[in-house]
Amino acid sequence: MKTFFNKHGLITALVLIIAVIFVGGGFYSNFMTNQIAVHEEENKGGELNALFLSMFTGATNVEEFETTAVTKSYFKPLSNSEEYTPVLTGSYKVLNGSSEVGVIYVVTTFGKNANLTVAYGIDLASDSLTQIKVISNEETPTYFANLSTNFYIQFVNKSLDDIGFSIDSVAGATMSSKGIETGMFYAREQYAADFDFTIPSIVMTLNSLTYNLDPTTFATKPFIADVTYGDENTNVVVYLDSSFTYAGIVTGTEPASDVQSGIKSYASASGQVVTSASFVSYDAGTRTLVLISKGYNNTPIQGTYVLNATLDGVESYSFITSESYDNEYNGGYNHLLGVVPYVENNLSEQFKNGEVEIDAIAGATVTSNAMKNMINLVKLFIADQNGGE
Amino acid sequence: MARFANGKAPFLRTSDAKNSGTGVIMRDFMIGLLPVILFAWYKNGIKVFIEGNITFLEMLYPLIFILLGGVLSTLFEGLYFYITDKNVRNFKTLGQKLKVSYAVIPGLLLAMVVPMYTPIWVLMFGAFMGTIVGKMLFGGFGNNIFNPALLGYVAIGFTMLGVIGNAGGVFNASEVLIDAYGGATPLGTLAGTKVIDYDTLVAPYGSLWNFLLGTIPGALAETGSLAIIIAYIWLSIRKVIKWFTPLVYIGTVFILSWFIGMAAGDAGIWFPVYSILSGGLMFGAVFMATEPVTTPRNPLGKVVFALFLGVLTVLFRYIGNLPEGVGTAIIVMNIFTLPIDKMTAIIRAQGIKKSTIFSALGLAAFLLILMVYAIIKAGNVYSAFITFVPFIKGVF
Repeated sequence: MKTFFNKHGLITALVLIIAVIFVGGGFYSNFMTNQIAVHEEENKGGELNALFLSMFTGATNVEEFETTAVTKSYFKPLSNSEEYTPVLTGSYKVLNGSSEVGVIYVVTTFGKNANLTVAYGIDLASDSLTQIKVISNEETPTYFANLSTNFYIQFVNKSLDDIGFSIDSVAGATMSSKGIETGMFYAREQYAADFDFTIPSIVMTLNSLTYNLDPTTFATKPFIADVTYGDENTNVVVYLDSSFTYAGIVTGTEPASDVQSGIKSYASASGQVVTSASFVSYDAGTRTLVLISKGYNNTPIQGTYVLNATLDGVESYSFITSESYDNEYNGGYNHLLGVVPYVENNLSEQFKNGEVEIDAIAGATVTSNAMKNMINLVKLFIADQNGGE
Repeated sequence: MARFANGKAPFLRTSDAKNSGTGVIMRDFMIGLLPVILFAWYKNGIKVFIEGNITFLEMLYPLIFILLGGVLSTLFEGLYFYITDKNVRNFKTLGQKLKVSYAVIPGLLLAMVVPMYTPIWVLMFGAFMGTIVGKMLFGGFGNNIFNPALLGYVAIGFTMLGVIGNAGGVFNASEVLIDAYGGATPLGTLAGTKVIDYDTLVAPYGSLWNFLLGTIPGALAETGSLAIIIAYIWLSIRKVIKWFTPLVYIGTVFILSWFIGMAAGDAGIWFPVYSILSGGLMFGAVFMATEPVTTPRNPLGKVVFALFLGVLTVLFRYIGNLPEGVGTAIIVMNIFTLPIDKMTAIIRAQGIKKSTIFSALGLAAFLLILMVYAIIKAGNVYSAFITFVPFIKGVF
């Protein structure tokens, strides 16, 4: 051994040192690279922590806690068939010193697209939301930006005890609004499962939700809801405004405010009527029915239909709208150029000619749908004028 | 190099005098590197640790990495000597051999100009390429054509950039948190945006003071312009380097960048300042363009060499696809060291005479054409948001 080292000691040492640097350096470099991900996680955690703390006044720290996610299915926005279960992405306790003041559920739902993740802060003392914060989303940025402060303010101090536990959607971001609302429902379910809280329930059946076809009231009270509620099966028929808020009694006794908000909640969730088209006025003398619908980007389209003398068909129609769509589609019009509204006229002509199924115009789907909604109302009105036939 | 006799005869031999000779030069050179190494450690290790973004072990990495560069090139050189020379197969002679061969420097310099997260095995590869291929295969210290550290750097640059990027790249743990950087170094931003605009190139990184201090993203030690300037002053005073070589090099880049800025439409002085304080220009100019073995020896040669370096750097940086340009420019110019030396030596010896004037004029004309081309071409590649003196752009 000694002879070996006397002879080869130097080369052995050199090679050994290089080998040690190679191996040790490999570990060190690898450690450095791995640490990047660790720091990233820490920083992300730090940012989230600060965000969570900002949702509660007087909160000092946030702790993650384990819970079993409740299983509850909801419809995807604007769908009556596609169901899914939101994902509980995180659950946190919010502390002030050592006392628990609140809880935060981070819930991922569907908006227009998947992965709409929102944090819902709930105050333990009052069983109400403190506020919500959007963590991440894959929504269309221009639409999502329509969710203004007025939208988020609806969540501030919103009581979970409210029967009509819902929020108003924002035009231009309806699906995102619905997605965030679904997350709110889910957070309440989770809260009820984790804490001493019972979701208020009132036995209520929505018997029917229809359009108000009475020309004297339909402008301000577009919907009529027939509801049976309570232990004694109280029946009421009520007017609702365009956002399904109680707007007056048709028959029965005016219900209490929690029942009113319950009706709003049931009606808005029912999906039986569309809110995008509505009646504006009807002049019996000239048989002129004016309606309004929402086209692309919610641009209003006002339609005027003059009914025939027997009130069973349309004599003429005209439109006022600031909507414009691409000229390349079907000779589409631009109102600034004074060109005729092609889609509106085309669909109305189909309707006038007695077509049962009105064909939408390719390339102007949103406008077509707006028109179909409007024409549907005209049909209902005509049917009502003829004794509901 | 000051201690080499480049002037006209007669020469006075001073290398044997006390406190002189290459040993002293190298000692002074190492002292010059010290502030730059310390700054690199401070910026990428200590400061990030103080800011709470890394652990203690991570803090040590930049320093260990740089020192390891020196150790590795020494080891490789030792190995080479051992294999090729029977007489140095013991610790004592090998030690002496390595001492006069300055084996530590290539690896040290290499480690200073690569990104912070370069894996150590990649550094090892670079040190091997630099020391063995770049230096020893040419005959060792004094015989190499290319700057060994830069050869290693270029070898890594051409083959391992992806590996370095995957391992973490150039940003330290504090810099990745700054959204304004947008994941790019100042020169990376210029290469990506092709826009000469203060708000795009400088403002995200703070101000030009940050560029001077070196608190901007970049390779380990190259950003510390102030530390490099201190080193430059020290090395110039100690006559380790000729003071005018870095000055001519940096000055050429400064002036050409200014003209490019003007041609693109922004005549602000900030752009040339930004140009000389970004990337590895300062580092390369002070520590590599002055290397005694691979650069011309007579003063006129040094000036010509530095002028070409300036022009090539601008060409590579602003017109080629290399956001950096300094390393490649120096490597390319290393090839021409010998002809430049020869040509300028004749000019120096004979003065401007009939026989030399053509070669001098030819050289000057070539240089001028390159400069004008760089300005016009780059002026058309880049655009500025403010239109100030666009007197060159559009003329051609």
